[in-house]
Amino acid sequence: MTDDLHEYAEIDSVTKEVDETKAPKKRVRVNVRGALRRVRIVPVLLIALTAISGGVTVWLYFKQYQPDQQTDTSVAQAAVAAASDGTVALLSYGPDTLDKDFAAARSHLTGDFLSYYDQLSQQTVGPAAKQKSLKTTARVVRAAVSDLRPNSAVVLVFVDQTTTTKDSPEPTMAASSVLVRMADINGKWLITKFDPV
Amino acid sequence: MAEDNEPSAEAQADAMSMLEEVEAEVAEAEALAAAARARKRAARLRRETVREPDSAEAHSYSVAQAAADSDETEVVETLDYPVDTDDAHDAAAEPEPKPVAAPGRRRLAALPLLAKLAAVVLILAFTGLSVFMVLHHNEAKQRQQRTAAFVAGARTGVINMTSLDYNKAKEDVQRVIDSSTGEFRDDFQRRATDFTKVVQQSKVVTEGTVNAAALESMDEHSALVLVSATSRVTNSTGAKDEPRVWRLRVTVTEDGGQYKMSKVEFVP
Repeated sequence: MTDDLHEYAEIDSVTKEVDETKAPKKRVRVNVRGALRRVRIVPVLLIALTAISGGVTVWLYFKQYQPDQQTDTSVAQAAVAAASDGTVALLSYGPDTLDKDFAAARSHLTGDFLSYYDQLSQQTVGPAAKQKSLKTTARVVRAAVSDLRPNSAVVLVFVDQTTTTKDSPEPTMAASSVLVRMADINGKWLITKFDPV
Repeated sequence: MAEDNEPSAEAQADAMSMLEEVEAEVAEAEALAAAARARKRAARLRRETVREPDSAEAHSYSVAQAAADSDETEVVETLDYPVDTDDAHDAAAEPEPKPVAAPGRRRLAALPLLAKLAAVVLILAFTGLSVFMVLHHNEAKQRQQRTAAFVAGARTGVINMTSLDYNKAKEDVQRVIDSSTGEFRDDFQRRATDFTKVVQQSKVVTEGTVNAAALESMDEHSALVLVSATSRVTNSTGAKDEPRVWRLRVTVTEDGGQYKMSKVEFVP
């Protein structure tokens, strides 16, 4: 029996030793797998970083850069110039050049305001101008952007309008302020609303 | 395990053959320390089998079983797939267990150097572009905030200037002074006493509103703002709620974080 116990103890120690030899082997295996992961982490990381940086770039471009570009100083200047030209065209006409003047004005307008202008010019302004020999010339004194968004703008225009008629050939001067609402249609700033204040 | 307790020559022979098997397996596996110990143990067991067949048989079987078991599990666990014991060490040393490796992963690992370089270049380009756009956006945001501040300064100044009540003329005049700076403030302050008297004597009440304001230009510390304002006046001569429209060009100057009127021009 003593031998038996001794033997069991021996067996235990053998098993333990087997276990001990097994453990480092396992560790080796884990290390090998870790190494494999390390090898793969480079391409995975590269692909992930490319995707992330690309995504961020695209997002920034459409959410920030493009709107910024569409509302920068040069765009503001273009909108102001277009609003000034449009205002002058809209408020300058004479009885002898009505068709030409209306056509010039129309080229600065768009949308509902264009329809409204067509109606107004044909039914009211045209006949009145002919009847009274009304000639009016507008001049923009000052103009600046009041509000600028991508593809739309509001421009404050200070206008001086000189008018002569058959009845009062002495030119009369009228000073006014106009809020001109603009829209960028295919790269061209056009008037969508014209509100004297 | 009933036969374990049956002392017989056959069993003893079995035990012997098993021992040999154990020896062979242990040797083949070349689990260095374990093998050496197992061999030592086998030698001892063989001696004891001769001397004491009964117990030795049972014990040797156990040892053999244990050794075999442990050997087997070791091989299986290490390799994850069936392999000849002969190849055990070679296979264990092999870095990549083939059945485990997915084909996609292998392709990733094999991403060519050129593709890696291209990816690095792309990442750098994207990052550079992003940084540029963020900086550009911050600049644009700052410009918008400054624009809003200058326009707000002009609006406040114009409203204060066009809103006067003879009942509280002094306060109203002081408010105009407070919301202005530079040239305009100096001029207004100089005439403040006279101006207050005029307002009080004429019993003027004006209420100003700003119809529109627009930034004409802006530099580091000042801006030009166009303002269209309306003032409704009531005075001692009987004019009541008579709106007057003003076209103003206001210079706004930043003064210690505050945006104040420094010049007011009437655009006739």
